[in-house]
Amino acid sequence: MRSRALVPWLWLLPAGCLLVPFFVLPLAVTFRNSFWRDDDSGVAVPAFTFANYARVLGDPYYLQVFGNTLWIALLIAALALAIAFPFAWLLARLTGRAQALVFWVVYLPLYVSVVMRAFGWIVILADSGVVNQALLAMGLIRQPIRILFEVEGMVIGMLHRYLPLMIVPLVTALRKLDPSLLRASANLGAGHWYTWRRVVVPAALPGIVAGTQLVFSGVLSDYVTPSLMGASGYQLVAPAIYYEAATNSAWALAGAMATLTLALVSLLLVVANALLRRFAPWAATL
Amino acid sequence: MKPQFGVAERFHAAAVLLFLVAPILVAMIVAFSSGNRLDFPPPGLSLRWFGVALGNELFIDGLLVSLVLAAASAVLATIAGTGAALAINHHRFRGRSLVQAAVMLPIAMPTIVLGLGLLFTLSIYDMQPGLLPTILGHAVLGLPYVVAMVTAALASYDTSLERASLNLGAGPARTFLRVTLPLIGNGVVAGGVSAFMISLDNISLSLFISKGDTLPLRLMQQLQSYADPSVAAIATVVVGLSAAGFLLSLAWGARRRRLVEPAPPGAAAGRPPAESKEATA
Amino acid sequence: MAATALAADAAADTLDPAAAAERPPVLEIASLRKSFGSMLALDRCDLTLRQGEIVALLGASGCGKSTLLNIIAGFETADFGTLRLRGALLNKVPPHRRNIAMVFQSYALFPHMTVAGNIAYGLEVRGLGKAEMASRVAEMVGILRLQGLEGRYPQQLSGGQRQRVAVARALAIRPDMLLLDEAFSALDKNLREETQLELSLLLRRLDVTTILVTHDQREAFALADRVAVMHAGRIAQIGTPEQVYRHPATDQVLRFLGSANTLRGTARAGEIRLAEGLGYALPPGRTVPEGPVSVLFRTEDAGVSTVPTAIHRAHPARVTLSTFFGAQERVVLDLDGQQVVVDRPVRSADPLASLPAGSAVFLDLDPERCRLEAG
Repeated sequence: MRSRALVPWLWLLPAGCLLVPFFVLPLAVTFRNSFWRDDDSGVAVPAFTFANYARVLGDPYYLQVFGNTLWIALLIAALALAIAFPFAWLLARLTGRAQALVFWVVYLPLYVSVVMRAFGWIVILADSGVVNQALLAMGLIRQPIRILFEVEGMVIGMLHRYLPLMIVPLVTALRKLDPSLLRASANLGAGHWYTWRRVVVPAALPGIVAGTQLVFSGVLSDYVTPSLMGASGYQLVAPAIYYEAATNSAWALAGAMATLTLALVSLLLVVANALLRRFAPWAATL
Repeated sequence: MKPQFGVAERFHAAAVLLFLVAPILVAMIVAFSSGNRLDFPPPGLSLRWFGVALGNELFIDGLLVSLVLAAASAVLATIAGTGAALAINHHRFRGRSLVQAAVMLPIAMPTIVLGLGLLFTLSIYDMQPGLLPTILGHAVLGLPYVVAMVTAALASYDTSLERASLNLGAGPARTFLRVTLPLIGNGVVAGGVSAFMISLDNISLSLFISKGDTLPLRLMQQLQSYADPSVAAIATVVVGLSAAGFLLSLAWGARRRRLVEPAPPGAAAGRPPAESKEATA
Repeated sequence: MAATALAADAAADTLDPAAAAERPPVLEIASLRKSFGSMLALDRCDLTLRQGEIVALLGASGCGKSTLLNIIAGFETADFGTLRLRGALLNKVPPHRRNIAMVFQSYALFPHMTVAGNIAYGLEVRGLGKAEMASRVAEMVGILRLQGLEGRYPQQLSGGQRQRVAVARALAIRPDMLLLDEAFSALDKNLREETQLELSLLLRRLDVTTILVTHDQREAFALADRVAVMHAGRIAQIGTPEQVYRHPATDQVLRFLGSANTLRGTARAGEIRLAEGLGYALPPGRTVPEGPVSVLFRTEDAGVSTVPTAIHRAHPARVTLSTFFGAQERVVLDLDGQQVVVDRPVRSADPLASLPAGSAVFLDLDPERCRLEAG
């Protein structure tokens, strides 16, 4: 029956109407424009050139921007994973009301404006902020230490912003772990650490991959945190793209930077899924 | 067997929870400050910064724009996302896994890139930066969340229920309205709420394709130029509104969940054992 | 005792095959074929059900019985062949216009509707008036003993109650026929047998034409007038339970119904030799090409004795294991390296009531009850 084969596509129609013109096409246009040339009058003119890429990959400033961003993204992903894993393991084993409450707290930052979260961190981390006051009062320091508007402050802000995005997929993966597997493992003679390594971590792999992807693409596209909490001398790629486009009207150059960012995220997606397929074929989804 | 939690584990969890709530709590408390600066603890409590915030036309306009934007984009994302989730979970068709990956892609792709791309593309559609393109852009961002939540709702949903409905003589449309939709309703609502919140908090996309008049953009400008507790006050108002909406939807969901939670034997993995015992007794 | 009396009633209700042949056909299936990709799920299936008849589709999983049921319900479409309900072609009718009710394996009760809501659903769809709907629901509630449960939700019911609601919901629409898809598999053994008996009586009383799909031979035999044994997408044999059991048309039917032994032997000079030494004489009129043969027989069609009962029928063997099952005893024998399973009734005065492992015995085999195949 031919009409039956059409049914799924009918259901997909609204999503297609949204995604094709407002997701697929913009990304394609960005890619195309990255090969155009920026006119002096502030418009990108259609002329095929590698000049933008040559500039981004040749100029130490832009290389530094990408280097900074990659380093921060890796750092945040690693910190988030290290902090989130034991927490997610506890959360996955909680039941009933306690689990609901903890989940609620984990989701809380996602439901509060990122500007408000940054505001809170500014109050806590500023030179006259909560942390410095406490350290001064305890006599541990004599001068306030500068955290805010430094890389450290930005890392704290970003960790706060992206930690839930690591916790949630981890908990989702760990909750699928049948508790009887733990008993089976113990019954077969495995100790706590062995069970953790051979049963719990493999079960968490899909969550680790998903969480890392979310954190990574979040950091790469974070404009707010570096703008509000970061150091002016430590540029990240998202504010840089906006600066090139909006302030410098270097549209094609911004396009090239955006395309490179996209390539980095895609590369991570592909590599992560290849690794997952290789080491955890049972969990590969994509 | 009740799970055992070690001391270190508990301590770690408490620290994480504190880390997650600290800036939010601090910001909320400062919103009620009677002082002029961002002192913490505040010298005294007052509502003066709420007065300042609500008297700021830029904030109020921004809030209205953001609410309209969030509502409209959430509706679009919910319709498109629910449809896509049903297609992916109920049907086997050529290219299914590709479609599945495609609808989830906006989560993984950097928003800033999409923002720039949308700005490039608007001229093709003869659009100017403003409310309409921002609604469409935010709907794209919300879509994968709706798909994920509806898919989660469909996981505990027995497709033979639809067959049963067809078998009893209900057509596809009636089956969707009477059986499918009520049973995945919680997932649809949760997805819609997520899409709403995503839009309400978005900056990276609005930066490029709005007129710079959404609340988060205005708050950010204010914070960058002159940080005073009024930013925290208006943000607290938004949190209050969200919380009210959340509690309402929770009450609505709880009333329905009692009836809707399916209890097929053996499929009750995610639920506390006491509940499933009750169901079979 | 009560159960046997009821069973006797049911037997009296069973359609006499001669009378059944005169009743109008309800469902006619002709040369149905269905494949999924390269897998042939149904291959030239033919089946006719007459009014009030109960037919069981019996077979191992993957034999095509569920596919056939889904095609009848309209959830799958056949690649080839015709399907008629009371003479009208059904192939292109969508599932919701077929009026063939189904009881699902999971029962598929709508969790967001009460018992009454579930039963009324099909009536509501058919636009019945409020009063008529209420009386029909009440009728079904009465017939299936669901009084007092009307306002409950499915998850507040026991397994047996859920099953009865599923049946009530299916019968409420007064379907042209009923499909039962492994409808008893979720119940535990005692409840299952009780429910089978009850439903069998109900369906005959209401004269409901029914197809039930099952992999459980007891269930098929308990409910059905005729049993269709399916194998590899085809109906291997169809007939009354007694016919298919006593005269299996193929090896697969014999193997699927009850349990069977397969022994290797050689045919030579009108005899079958299972081992060196004695051979069984072929019954008159049966011929097998000389050479290797397989000998198939049911476990209850052989006997065990401590003395050879008939010189050409008994073969010396050794007991490997004997297990007591109440009314029956299962003896596993070693016959020159081949394993033979024999099920025999236990009589209290039987001197052989318990055969210790290692006992030397004789296997009594009646060649009349064996299927012989060359090769």
